[in-house]
Amino acid sequence: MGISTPGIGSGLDVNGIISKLMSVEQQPLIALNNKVASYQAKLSGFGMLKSALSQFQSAMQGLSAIGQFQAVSATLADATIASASASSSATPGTYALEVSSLAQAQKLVAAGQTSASTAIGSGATTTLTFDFGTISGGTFSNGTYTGASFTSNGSGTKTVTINASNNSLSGIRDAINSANIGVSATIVNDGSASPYRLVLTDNTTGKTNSMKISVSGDATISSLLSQDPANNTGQALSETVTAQNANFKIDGVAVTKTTNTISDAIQGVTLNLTKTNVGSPTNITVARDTGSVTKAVNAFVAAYNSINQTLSDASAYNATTKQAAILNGDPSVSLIQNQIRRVLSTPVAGGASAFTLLPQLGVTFQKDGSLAVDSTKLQSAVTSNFSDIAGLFAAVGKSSDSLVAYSSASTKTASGAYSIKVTQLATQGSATASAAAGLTITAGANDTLQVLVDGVSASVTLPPGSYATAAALATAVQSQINGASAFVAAGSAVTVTQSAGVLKIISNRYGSSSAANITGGNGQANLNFGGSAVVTTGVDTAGTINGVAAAGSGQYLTGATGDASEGLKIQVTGGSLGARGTVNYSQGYAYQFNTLANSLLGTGGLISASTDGINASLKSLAKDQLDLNAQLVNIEARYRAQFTALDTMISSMNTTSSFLTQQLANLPKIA
Amino acid sequence: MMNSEEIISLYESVADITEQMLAAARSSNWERLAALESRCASHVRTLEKGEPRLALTAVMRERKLTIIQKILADDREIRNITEPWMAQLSSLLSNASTERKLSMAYGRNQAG
Repeated sequence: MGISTPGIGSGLDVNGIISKLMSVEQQPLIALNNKVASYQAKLSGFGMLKSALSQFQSAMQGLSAIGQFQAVSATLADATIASASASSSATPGTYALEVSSLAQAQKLVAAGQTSASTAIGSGATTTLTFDFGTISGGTFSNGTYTGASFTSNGSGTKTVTINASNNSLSGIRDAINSANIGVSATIVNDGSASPYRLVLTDNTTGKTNSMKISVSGDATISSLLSQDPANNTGQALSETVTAQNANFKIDGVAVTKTTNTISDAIQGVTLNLTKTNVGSPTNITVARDTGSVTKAVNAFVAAYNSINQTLSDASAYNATTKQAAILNGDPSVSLIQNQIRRVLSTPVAGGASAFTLLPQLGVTFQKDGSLAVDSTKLQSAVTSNFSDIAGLFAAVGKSSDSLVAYSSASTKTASGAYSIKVTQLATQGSATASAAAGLTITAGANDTLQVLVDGVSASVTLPPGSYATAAALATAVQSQINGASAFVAAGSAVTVTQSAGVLKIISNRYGSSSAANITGGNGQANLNFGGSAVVTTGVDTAGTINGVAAAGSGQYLTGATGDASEGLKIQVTGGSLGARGTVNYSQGYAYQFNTLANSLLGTGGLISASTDGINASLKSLAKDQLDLNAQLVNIEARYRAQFTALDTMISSMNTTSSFLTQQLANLPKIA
Repeated sequence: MMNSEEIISLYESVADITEQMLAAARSSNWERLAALESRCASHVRTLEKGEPRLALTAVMRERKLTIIQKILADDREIRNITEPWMAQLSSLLSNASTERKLSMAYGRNQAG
């Protein structure tokens, strides 16, 4: 029979019926899809919230440091004389500046060469040794000193090696420049018959930085570059610019500095001298930068208002339009709102600032929950207590003892007032020779020293000669040690002093890692180090913070792990043993907001917990959708099969009944 | 060629199947109903092809008449049950039980 088109047998619109049935069966799927869409909207709502919180976090991070709340400006009446900048430690006031000379660097010019690229000398390995120091006495004429003396400044000699690969004028220039020894080399062409002249310019200004160049090796290079200002006939180079100090007066007090950048003439102010003004002093005005503070406070308020608005908008419900915002009713939003509001309603603890609440600065909550600034009140707070404003916003530490300084705090440090007790001061490692040093240093005999500084050992060679004084020898020893690359790399340096001819070598570092000694070399005995020298290792500061033993390292004490003071780092530079006052540590509102935003945004924070929950729901809904789809396919197939079968059956039954009816008709009537 | 006895016996088989079909329809066993009908149809096809036009005895005729009448009666009864059911499917759309099924399905997914 095979009636394949549904509906022919029964006369019913089977396709229509099935599709209607299926649309009813699909209702749960549509509900499911709507649910997915609503979760996705929520997810995008949290994405928006997250980016708003990130913005809030970075704004607050910028306001967590004290700089912009304690900005100090320094301005000059005549800006052509100098530029100036000030740090928060500067004291407001007016200072008169009169510059009589600018610091300048020495410049030396070598004899002219016919070519910059022709080899000079034999190419034998030649060492140029640069020393830096002061030229004094004698006379100066035509670029040459007569009867002068040279005293090294002890900063360390530097060497440049010339050999067959670079013994041209340009090769020497490049070798000096690439050695980074603080000297710049250039070649000028003066237009003469032998036009190429090597010019050496010291990178450091000041009288104490004149160059002395010793050359060992090739004689031709030696006669070109040897420069000993103390030797009337040993000056191959001509001095075209004499090293000079900056000389100036601050409020009439004469000051001499080796550079034009001066950071220690007026506390907290860095001057950069650019011109002399003898006879007409100009004023430097150091003032608190109230504009910067006001700007920072307003930035804080703007950042707060912005996140507050975002949170309100995200959870809003408009009663008039009956429209709910995406995150309306989500508990996370009100949780975040509450946490943010709670920060501002809690006074800043720790006592590092006289201010503890925003209204003290004229910053108050409005009826709508936003913050507003009363600029008159803010201005009066800025004027009356400038230095305490930072404590209301930034993380601030303050010490009551001038020789105890707040250094830093970690994220684990709780705000509070911490008592400091010092039981041991940090010391430097040193070694004192057992007797006066011999002043004659002979190459190959007593010129090498094996030196140990802060755990690093290196060999140095003293310049040979008869030293006039033990002080000159001490300077030479210090200079050689501090110039050694191993110590430079380790960040170590020493100070060498002498007392009645006895040398003492002291590490510049403090603490248990600090050590300095001459442990060997053929010059050890001449300086009387070794067996009976007095060697002392440095010790770390020791003491308590908040009554708990603190970790000492060098001059620093750090609050113990597990204590409220954990991570609080203070520097003890001197003073007596025993109780040393209090260090107050406060976390201002911007700092707290930064921390809060970090925790909200971090792994396991409220935002990620909420989005994780939504993502999990979406995942489970996706599975439900799949299951329901599969179920719908089955249901449809079953309906279709049933309809088709019944349809076919009825059609077949029609055939049967018409056959039987016909048979009946064919039967003769029964009487 | 079947003889009269065989023909009457085939009619009786058809009547027997039709009776079972009616039982299946009454118990809404639609799969069984369709299966029985296809057996029934195959007997009827055999009769269509193979029934000789021979004169039956009065007794035989009487039996055939009774059987066919019974088959047609069952057929009507089966249609009376099946066709309304098929029509009823369309009214499932507005059926309260469908609504209930829906809300149950929705409720289950709501929890997930």
